[in-house]
Amino acid sequence: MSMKKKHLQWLITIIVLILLLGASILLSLSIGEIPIKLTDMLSILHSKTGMEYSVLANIRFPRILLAIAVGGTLSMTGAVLQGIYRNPLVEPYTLGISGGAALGVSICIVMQLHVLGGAYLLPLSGFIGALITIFVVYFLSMGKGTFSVNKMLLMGVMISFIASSAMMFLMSISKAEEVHSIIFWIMGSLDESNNSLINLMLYSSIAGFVITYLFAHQLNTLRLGEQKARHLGLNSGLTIRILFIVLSLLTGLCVSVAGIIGFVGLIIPHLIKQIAGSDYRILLPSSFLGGSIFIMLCDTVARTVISPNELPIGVITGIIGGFMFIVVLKIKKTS
Amino acid sequence: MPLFTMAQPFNRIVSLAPSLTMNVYYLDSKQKLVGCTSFCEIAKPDKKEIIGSATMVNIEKIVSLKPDLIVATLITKPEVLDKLRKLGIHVEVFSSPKDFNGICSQFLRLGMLIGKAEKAKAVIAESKANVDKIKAQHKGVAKQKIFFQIGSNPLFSVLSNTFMNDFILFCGGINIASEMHSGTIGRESVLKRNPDAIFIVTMGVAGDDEKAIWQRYGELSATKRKQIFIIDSNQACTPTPLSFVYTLEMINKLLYPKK
Repeated sequence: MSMKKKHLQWLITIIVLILLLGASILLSLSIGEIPIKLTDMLSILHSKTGMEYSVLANIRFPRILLAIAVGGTLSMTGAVLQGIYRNPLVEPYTLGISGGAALGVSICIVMQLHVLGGAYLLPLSGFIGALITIFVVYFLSMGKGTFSVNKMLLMGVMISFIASSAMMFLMSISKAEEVHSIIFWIMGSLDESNNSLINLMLYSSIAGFVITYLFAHQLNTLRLGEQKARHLGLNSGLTIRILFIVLSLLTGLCVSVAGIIGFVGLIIPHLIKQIAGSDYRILLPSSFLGGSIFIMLCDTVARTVISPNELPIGVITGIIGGFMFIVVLKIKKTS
Repeated sequence: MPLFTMAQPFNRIVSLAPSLTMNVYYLDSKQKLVGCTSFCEIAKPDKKEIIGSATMVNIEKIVSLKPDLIVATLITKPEVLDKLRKLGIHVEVFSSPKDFNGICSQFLRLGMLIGKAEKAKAVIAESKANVDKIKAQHKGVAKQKIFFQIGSNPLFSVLSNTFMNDFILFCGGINIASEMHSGTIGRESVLKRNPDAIFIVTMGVAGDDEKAIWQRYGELSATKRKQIFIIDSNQACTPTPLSFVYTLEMINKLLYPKK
């Protein structure tokens, strides 16, 4: 394939994904318990009054922003980590970040800190939990001198196990309603009421994308394996360290704000790779867009499918994503 | 009801739930309680032996206390209760009461088991009289739509076949979730039903933060009427006749301050 043809194909992929994202946003804005016609949307937004406006401005729009930021980040992070570790099973949560964040939130819930000090302490303690995990994994696996990616992976998995056992310990000594809070927090939700938190998430995810994109060439080289990349003159250690820190912080932020939304970081990069190819220059933006679209649609399903009840988004991403993945794998095998 | 219990009431009780411990206290029988859970606040000053929690029961500890009666709720695993029965201890299970009458009949049942039937009847009669007083106030008064929220993220609503639904009915209200069968409810669904009053039960949630979220919706009837209230879960969620009346009176006062 000539260079020009490849770039044209990339451009088409990105345009199609952006169009799909736009369509998902409109769909997500209009569907809900209070149906809002697309044709009325402009006048409602213009009037700035009424229940419809409140619903759009306070419920649906913040959820869309959060879906774009969280879905994009998780999916892009998955794509990068799968490349660095050359392991298709790695996802943002594999390195123990979600476990650390969940442990932080559980401690907060059990100690009732958020009741005494305000709801913002929940995401804050989640983020502190994630930060501690990141430090531990970093220093245990790449503190001094050489490090191996396999060691890092194992460290992450072990930290996850330790964190989840500690969480089970906390749950076994706490009240039924606290256990309930912890479980629902773990299942994930995009229903966040703190606007500054949503903005923080959105800007960080964009910044994270830009930083990661600067490493697209290095990532392409790393895909050959860390050893080979080093022989090709790449300071692979530095690249991996920087990406690990940036992406871990982002993942920690995602988990603190939206809970643990599984499968996105695992499935979407794989699907996108089938469509867009595995060159990181196209894989990164399309994974980001793909993750945003996927989460947004899943969230729309979660809040409407058994309305007036609402489902945790993790339920939908797991079921839809899992089936989608199996189907794609099956088709790929037979063709 | 086994007859022998009336002839010979139980004298060494272990309670596996805070609400049951409270009922034992309200029946003037705290001296009969030999063990309770670590969450039984009412028993804290008396330094009763702790046997774990409703979900994590220390069976050996219970046996060492030599109880003749164990009172439990459905939260405790049936395997645990079976084991206790096999050890020859009488186990009474109290399911979650479906309404105020259910609370009363369970209270009476406990009273009969521990030889305090008369006391139980007296407490129930007084509680019913207080409840009737409040019910009578709302004859012919326009009904308010009420959202009774337990927890946030996700929002949970009080459902119609629970004793907490009676708080709404007895105050002349309509539960906005009366037709629902499972408690999670989307914020949009609440807005669509446009409740006139919202009660937030502080069950492990920051009540003030939840209140602030609802106040953002200026069109919501509850916001317009300034009827968004925070309620203490220790009283509201505990099925005892006394805490039921206490919570009901508080809710009634919040909804109708003039009466």
